[in-house]
Amino acid sequence: MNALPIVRRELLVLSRRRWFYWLRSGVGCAIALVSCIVFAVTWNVATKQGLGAPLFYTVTFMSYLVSVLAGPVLLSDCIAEEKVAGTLGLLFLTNTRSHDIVGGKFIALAMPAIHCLLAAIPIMGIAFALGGVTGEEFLRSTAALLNTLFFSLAGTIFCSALASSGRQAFGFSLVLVLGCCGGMTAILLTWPKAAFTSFWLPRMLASPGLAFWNAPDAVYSANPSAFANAIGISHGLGWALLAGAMLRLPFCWRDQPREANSEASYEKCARATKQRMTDPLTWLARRRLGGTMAAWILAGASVLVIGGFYLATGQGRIDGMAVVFAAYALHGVFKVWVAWVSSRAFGTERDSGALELLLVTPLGETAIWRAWLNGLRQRFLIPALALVAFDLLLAWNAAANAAGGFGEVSIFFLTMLAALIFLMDCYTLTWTGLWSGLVARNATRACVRTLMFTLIIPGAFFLNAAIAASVTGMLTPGSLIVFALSWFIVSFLLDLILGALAMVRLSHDCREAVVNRS
Amino acid sequence: MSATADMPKSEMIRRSMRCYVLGWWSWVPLLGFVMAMLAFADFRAVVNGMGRRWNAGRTRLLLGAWLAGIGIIITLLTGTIITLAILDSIAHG
Repeated sequence: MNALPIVRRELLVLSRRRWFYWLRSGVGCAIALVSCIVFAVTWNVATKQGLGAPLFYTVTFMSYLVSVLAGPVLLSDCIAEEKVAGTLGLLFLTNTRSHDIVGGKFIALAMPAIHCLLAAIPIMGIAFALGGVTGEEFLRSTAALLNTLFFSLAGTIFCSALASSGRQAFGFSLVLVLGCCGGMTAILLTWPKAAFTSFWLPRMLASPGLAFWNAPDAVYSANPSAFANAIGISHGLGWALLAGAMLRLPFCWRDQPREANSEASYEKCARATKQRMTDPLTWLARRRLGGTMAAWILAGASVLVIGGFYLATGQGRIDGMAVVFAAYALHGVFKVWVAWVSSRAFGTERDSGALELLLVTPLGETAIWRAWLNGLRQRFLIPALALVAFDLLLAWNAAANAAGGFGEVSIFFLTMLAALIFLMDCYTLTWTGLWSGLVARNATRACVRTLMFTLIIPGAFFLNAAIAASVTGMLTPGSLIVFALSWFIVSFLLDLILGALAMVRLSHDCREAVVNRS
Repeated sequence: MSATADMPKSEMIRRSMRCYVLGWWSWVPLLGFVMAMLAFADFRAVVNGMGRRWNAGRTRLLLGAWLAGIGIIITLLTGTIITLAILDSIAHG
């Protein structure tokens, strides 16, 4: 068993990294800061017996989001990139087995996420000490969060073993994790009496989200066995995914022969050659960035979920705010994806040396980054516009059917602001992602750097304020407009500042960045 | 042929300065929207044509774009307040 030496070595490397220390400190400080804001907003509204409840639910929800996204962000590259670089086969030449590799990578790469979660748990403990949360609820929520993190990491490592590239692994794992922890749970909770909920498969897939949903006392007391079942099933599912990754690994490192004899592949080659001859840079960018199908699938899935929530609201099953939060979350996923793809765009070329070769040609760096930007635009622009058009259509319908007052003007107005910011965020993320991908050490760091100031900081601040206000009953139509307007102004200014900076840097310092990096 | 050769250096600096001036003018409510669009057009043209050459007006160019963005917010807020006031006056006769 060589897993322990591998784990020991990876942990020693991790412990010497400066960013790991700052990550732990930074996450703890950020959660403490957010908690102070939430507490300051809610202390005079909450009862003395329930002083800690808004803080507890806010921190728990944030930790849940971190746990869900930790897997795709941290682990999607771990096996897929070894396959691309061809080093996985070399690992198997040594005295290592698949469980050593999977176990070593899993433990070492999961450490940053575990430490982030450990930084959040003491804040949840403070909320428990303030009152309004029972000890059992605190323990249940902690168990559900740790279990969600385990499932997310195990699911991602399984997807990484299946996929042929890091980008594909990220896509697969995002679909799996968000589907199980968000989408499937939301569907089961929205339509509890639908025929498909009686099957074991949807309930099993939704178990990580159901465990988190059943943790609070109010839900747990109604059906105590549901929480234990969900925790047990999702934990077993996590181990099954890890076992699947171990079984798959010995068969996935060999190069497969390419089938090029069929008529379709010949036509595809001919088309690619024709395009290569007319515009080689655009061809290369499109080849690296991939087709538009996945963006359309995500946009279509978002339309289905938001539409389903909207219909459920019309029938009085759920509150209207659930549609807003669902739309916000799905738009967030789309933006994270844009940031991920754009921040990886130059990284792959830089690591393979293709970017350096391109820069010695007479094409010029402007032509290069413009080709990548066009590739990103071709991939994401039309699906993003279609999603925005659907949002506006829905808002128009909601405003037309509203009973007057707040509903008539505000719904459409707020949706329009959100749509504008969504498009601006996507545009800014493409520029900042390209620049970060050029200067950052690896793709994950580039993605985190891209997302930090554009999405994570303003999103966490306003989401927390909204959740806290909603828990304490302060989220009235009037305060919602103030929230939305201040969020719009802050996001707009951040997009403007970061986007303009990235444009000027990319256009002027592109070559220096590549040279200094390599 | 590189796209960076499209814009002469004098034109690049002139446009950077013009972007800065237009950025300030875009703070005029409502009318400033046109100025902001012109500032963004100058910003984009310089970014596309700048290449690796040193631009003496680089800071002004950035400031111009940021000022134009703030100008757009001012115009949007003013427009929203005016629209809501009109709707309110229509609703209450």
